[in-house]
Amino acid sequence: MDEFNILIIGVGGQGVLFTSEVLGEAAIKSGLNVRVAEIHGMAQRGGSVICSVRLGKDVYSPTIDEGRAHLILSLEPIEALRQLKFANPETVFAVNMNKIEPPGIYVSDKKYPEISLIFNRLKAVSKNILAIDALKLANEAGNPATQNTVMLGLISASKKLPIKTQLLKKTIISLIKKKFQESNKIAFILGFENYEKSKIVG
Amino acid sequence: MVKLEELITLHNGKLLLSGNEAIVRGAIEGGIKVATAYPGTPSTEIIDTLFKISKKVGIYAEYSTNEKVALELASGAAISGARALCSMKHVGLNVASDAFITLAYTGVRGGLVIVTADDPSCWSSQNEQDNRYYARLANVPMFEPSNSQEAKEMTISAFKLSEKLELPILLRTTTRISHTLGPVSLNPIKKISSHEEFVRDTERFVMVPKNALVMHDKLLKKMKKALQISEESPYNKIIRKEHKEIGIIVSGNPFNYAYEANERLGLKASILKLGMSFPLPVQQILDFIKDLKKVIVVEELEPILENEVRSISSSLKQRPIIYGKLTDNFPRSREYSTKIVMSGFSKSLSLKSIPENIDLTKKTSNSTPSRPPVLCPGCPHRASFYILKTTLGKKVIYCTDIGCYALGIQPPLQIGDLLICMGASLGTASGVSQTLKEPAVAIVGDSTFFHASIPALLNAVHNKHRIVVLVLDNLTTAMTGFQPHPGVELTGYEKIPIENVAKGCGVKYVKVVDPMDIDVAKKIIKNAIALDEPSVIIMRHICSIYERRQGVRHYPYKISEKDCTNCLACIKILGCPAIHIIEERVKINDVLCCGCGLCAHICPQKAINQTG
Repeated sequence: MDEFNILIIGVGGQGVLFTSEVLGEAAIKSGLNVRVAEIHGMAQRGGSVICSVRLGKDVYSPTIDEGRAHLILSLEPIEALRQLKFANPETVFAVNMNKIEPPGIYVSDKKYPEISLIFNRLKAVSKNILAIDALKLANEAGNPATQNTVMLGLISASKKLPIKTQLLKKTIISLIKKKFQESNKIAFILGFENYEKSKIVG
Repeated sequence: MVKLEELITLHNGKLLLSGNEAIVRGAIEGGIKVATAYPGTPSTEIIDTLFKISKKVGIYAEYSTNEKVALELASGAAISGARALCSMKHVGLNVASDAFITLAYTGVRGGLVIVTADDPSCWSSQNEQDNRYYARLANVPMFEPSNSQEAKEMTISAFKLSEKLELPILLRTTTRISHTLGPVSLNPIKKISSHEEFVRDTERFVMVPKNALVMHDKLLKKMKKALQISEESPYNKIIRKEHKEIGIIVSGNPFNYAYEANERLGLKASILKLGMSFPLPVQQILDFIKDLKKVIVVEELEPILENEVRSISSSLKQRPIIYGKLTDNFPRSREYSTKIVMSGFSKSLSLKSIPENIDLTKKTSNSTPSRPPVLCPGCPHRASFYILKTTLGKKVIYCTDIGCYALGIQPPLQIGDLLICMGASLGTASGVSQTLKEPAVAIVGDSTFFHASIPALLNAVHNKHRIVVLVLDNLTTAMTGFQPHPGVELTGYEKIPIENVAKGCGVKYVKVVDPMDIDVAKKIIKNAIALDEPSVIIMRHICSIYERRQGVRHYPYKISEKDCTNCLACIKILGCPAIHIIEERVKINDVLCCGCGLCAHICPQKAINQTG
């Protein structure tokens, strides 16, 4: 079947919806058929947010089945772990290493797992892992809220996406307010340039 | 996401639209004049968009106080000749049902489309009821789109059909239709003329018993006509494939899963896709199934189609075997996926080997800490719950309500013992109080107060119930995305303060307090709980996110490393998402912190202070 499935995950407030819609818009501009499935409302209040973008001629279902994501873009490390069931050995993981601890863990007996442990679990599923400190790069771009744009730059550099880099960049810029455009441009380039460095080997 | 300008001005081309936005576009292409709604996920963006563009496209749009009022208003407009659209979430139709069911008797003159947005899997709802039953209950036609393109087209068709039959039409979406974005081809926006006039017709429009009986018979006649229309509807169509013995019948979003499952399993079964799903095209279904040996019915939630297909098939001499939920091949709760439908197909057809491995599930171990939705940083409800916890504690029963404050049940605050539906906090608190012979607390939001709480408040006053009604007034309808309500300041609208309503209902003890004035608020609650009559305490403080969106910023707070003993009181008592432990030390994230100062108030060491 002609399909390319992208799962975008993170924490409410990180821009998961925006990132998904950017990919959807860019897909339409590329002449691709697309479905972007979002969740609004109660689920968004600081909770885990999961969106899917499906590209391809034969795509009907809004959602991605377990084991069938080609690309998992995770704006937070444990969120990638939580959605591991969507991956297969070919799946590319692009993970923002900047962790956000759920406030609930401080009043429970659970701990936020070590970052190395998280990546070991991801590596057990797929060897295609890109890890990046998007917060650091977003700060370099002058706006900590551009972490999602850093991630879009990163996945664009991976060449897996059936959307051209220039078009994706243009789409992001066309969808945001003027005063944030410059920082997002820089964030996208920083993400793009850090592709080689982000590859986790072994 | 879509630029509103494009949505209302483009005459051709393609846009990426959610189902909700596509319905808006359909309404514009279809000549809408009046739009009403009470916001509710997953339907909200319909009225949000129509409200924003109302002036530009020359329509009347309003956020009504509740769904019943919204539908009554839309009915009045449609009976007066205007094309009207009324949108609501599935449970909203319960509120509107009294008007809805009799409205089918009177019918309408201008087209009336009622959008019901169902929520399988309870993504943002208290139940997952199946509103396809409402089409049967009221006897009105129903459309079910499978994607955004169809959502647009069916909205236009529904207006036309409504005027042809002089009946309201239900357009049913589910979360995955409402909130999935897909390409939509646009058609020109033409000026559609309408004639607005109230033509008196007592026998038709005044539903006293004598007239109602006659109109009921007329409704049944109209639905016979609707059946003929359904038989010929382009929305009810067969996707023909090679297999001669197996057929699939499906409507709405499950079509997408059934289509992909059919491809992935290589079944080559023909699919009867029902877009006009009530009344069902009986003859078309008979023609489709008569030569088949096996028919699989795919539908989320209730086995409605399945039951009706079974009943339709009883007139055949040779009946195919019908598979669905009643044969235990498909689940009756939660939304579907392609995988679930593939599994249903496999069970129904006893497929021994599935061509592809569909179980790639790598179980995530439950050591991954969960991340449920929580109250936002700076949320004034956090202060209200802290006040309740430290004044009344576990001594009273807290009947809560629908809104952000339902999240008060999360640790560490954990306030909320009973929650049923919009406005139920007051009535249930009265019931608990009368039975236990002790005071009970009702927690209700500002918008929910106006929506469905006022009759229950009058009831509590009249019957002298010992309830403390805590109105958590954050000056907006926050949960659904900051819609206005009668209690807020809005240019061109009349503001009705909640305290005036409470006093008008006869409540004697009515207080307004800022939950950030913790000591004052505590005193008021202690006074109220000692009363032998109902009281209303309005905890008024603007929603922190809404305030930020309006450009108001407060300096964040900071923990003094010198004074902090790392006792973790701030974290363990409040659970604010802006407070973290980094390298064993408590820190406030200055990007997330809204500067509410609640943590500074409760810090035993007074180690937290505002910056700037």
